[in-house]
Amino acid sequence: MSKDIAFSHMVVEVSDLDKSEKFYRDVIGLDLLGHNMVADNRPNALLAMNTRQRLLLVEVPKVPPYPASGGSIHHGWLLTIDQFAQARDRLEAAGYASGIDPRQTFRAVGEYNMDIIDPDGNRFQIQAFGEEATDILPSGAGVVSCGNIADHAVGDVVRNGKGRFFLSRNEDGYLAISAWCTHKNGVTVWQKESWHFYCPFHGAKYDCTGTYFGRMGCAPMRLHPVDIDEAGNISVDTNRFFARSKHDPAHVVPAKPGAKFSTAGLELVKAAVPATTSSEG
Amino acid sequence: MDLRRTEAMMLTLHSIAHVTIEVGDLPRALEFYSGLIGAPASRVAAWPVKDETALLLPSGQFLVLKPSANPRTLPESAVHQAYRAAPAAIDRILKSLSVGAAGVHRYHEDRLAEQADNCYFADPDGNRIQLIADAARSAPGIAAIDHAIVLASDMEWIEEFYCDLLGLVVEHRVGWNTGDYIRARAWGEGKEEMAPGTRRWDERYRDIPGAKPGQGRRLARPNMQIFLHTGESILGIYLSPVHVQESPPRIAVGTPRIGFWTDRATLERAVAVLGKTRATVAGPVHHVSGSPIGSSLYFRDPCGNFIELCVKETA
Amino acid sequence: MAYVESLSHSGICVHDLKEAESFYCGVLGAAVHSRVNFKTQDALRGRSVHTSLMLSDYLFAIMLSEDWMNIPPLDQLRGENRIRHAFCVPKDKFAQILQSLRNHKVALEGPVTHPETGPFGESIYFRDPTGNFLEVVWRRDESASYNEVLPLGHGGVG
Repeated sequence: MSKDIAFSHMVVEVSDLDKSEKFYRDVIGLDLLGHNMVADNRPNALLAMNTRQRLLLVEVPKVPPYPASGGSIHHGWLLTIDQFAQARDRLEAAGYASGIDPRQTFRAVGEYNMDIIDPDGNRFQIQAFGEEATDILPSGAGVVSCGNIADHAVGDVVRNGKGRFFLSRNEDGYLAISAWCTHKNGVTVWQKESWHFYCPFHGAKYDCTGTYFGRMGCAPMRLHPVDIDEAGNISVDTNRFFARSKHDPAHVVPAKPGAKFSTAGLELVKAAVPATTSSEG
Repeated sequence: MDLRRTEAMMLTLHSIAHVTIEVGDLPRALEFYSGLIGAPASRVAAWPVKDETALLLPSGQFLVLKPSANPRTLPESAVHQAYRAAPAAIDRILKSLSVGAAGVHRYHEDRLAEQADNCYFADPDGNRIQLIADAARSAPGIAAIDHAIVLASDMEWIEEFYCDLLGLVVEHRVGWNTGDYIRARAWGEGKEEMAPGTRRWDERYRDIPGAKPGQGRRLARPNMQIFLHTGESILGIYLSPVHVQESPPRIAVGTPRIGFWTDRATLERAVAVLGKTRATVAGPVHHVSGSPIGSSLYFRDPCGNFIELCVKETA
Repeated sequence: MAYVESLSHSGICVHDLKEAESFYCGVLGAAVHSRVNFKTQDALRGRSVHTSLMLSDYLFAIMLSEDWMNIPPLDQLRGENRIRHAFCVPKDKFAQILQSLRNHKVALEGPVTHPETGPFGESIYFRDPTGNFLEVVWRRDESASYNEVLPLGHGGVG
């Protein structure tokens, strides 16, 4: 059944059909299709979006108040990036504050949002998602020195802020795991108490090899090449990102002098212009 | 833990077999728990794990003590072990306890089965103990293990593991219903004293949406809890409101640990089902003849808790 | 052309999360996308408990209400409590979903026939366990070609 069913339309009670119709047409930007096109005795208006979805406004004598704890009740409009820019202009011209998104800190790279309330107090988000949400984002730190193999015990995960990666040492050796969440470029944190990486934006979780577990279909966290010189000093090349479909122990660099990163089976996804070697971040 | 399980099973458990807790001073702990049992400590000979000391309870279950330099007792958390005892036995225990009246609490719990009068106190190392009055018991002290509580940092994955993958059934849950929030307010107003871990304050959960710490008033809320049927016992899982260090992911055997009696077919099925996931498993281990446990399967759940499936030795 | 592509998600409030999950997943075929505030990390951030469900191409963020909401009596099957959400099925599957709702013992009103001048064919009206109003419709314009809906996992496609 689930593949046959799709979202069709939302019905919204309004206290003044004329006023709300203008709001949804001129401020939100829907197409007004007409009146009394549905089986409903109350005054009603039907508006369209560019997909099959519709909005039906029905005029009622009294719109019920919001539930006391109903602050979470809201709906989201999805726009293209171009439409979002137009919406911003439209909202400003109509006198709606389209300023700072109060939950901006919860939003990942490339996620754009404005909040707006209709004449009856219904709450909406106007959203668009830019390509930068899935871009590969080099830190600019270049090749980063990360100490020596003598500095880390098995199980250690050390965050390198400048390089935007984690250096993880497990029983087999080292992985340099890019901190960008492969969902929508949130920045992950290492939750040492529960031994996993966590993205606070949408709750993605990855184990200590960077393997995702959950339902959002995220790829494993990307890797940077790890190089260990003859003296056991570790360096990580943050200019190069490697994607993988699953974790393979062959990509773990043994904690031994002279060990090298194997790229077999990995996909190089970004090769930025190499920067000069920087000091430990 | 791979959530897209390839196979599920119905884990048939008979009851808790043992609770293994950590203690700092074994002689002191033995004296304390002997006092609870109401008989001189009778250690179980041929307990399968050498540095663990097992005491037999009248029910046939075991209370096992593991000495540790830094015992993991989590005294501020929800973690506790609950024992059934006759009312007269409870009276005797409370009189003999050296903690004094101030150390004994009469908390309320959320489960219906725990609505009756319970008492709570700690052992000398901080392991929290709950005594549940059971008029059907006649032993002079604690007679049976009723339930044990563990913590989880992720209630979603822990329920997927125990219920979807291993087939345990939820007896009761708290925190998924509006009624639980309404009831939590009574605790917030000081009108109901609830057991630790059942309720919480979050600094940012306030009566003004989006409030920063310090703005508005804090709102009391229920803490998520799931109680799972494990045969005649219950395994309770409470959300940990603070980060507590979990055991490393690749270690399958450790303490504190809870063992469950099961049958051989279930044990073998668990081996097969867990083997297809990324769960950390050890065994089955076949113990020496004469041990009260014939075979064990050890695993670590997704939140670091150590679990053991125990099969009695066949004759 | 409109200046908006689609509605991507709704946050709705329920009185029991598990009961809501069973209904939307078991009766309407939704799938769990994610759950929020089921983890220690979330507890520290003070967020409210909710389950995000994908019902085909639509995301329902099912929020647990911390107060009892004023809900119209449950014997009123058609209406709105400010809002009603409507889903469409192909016309040739309409009888099937009607039967499926009956098999699940969901009280419903309809089918009600809409004017031919509009895009809706027939609707049935029912409610979720908390009492949120729902509708299933078949569309007269189901063969029209509109822009494709991009399903929104919370925070973007996927």
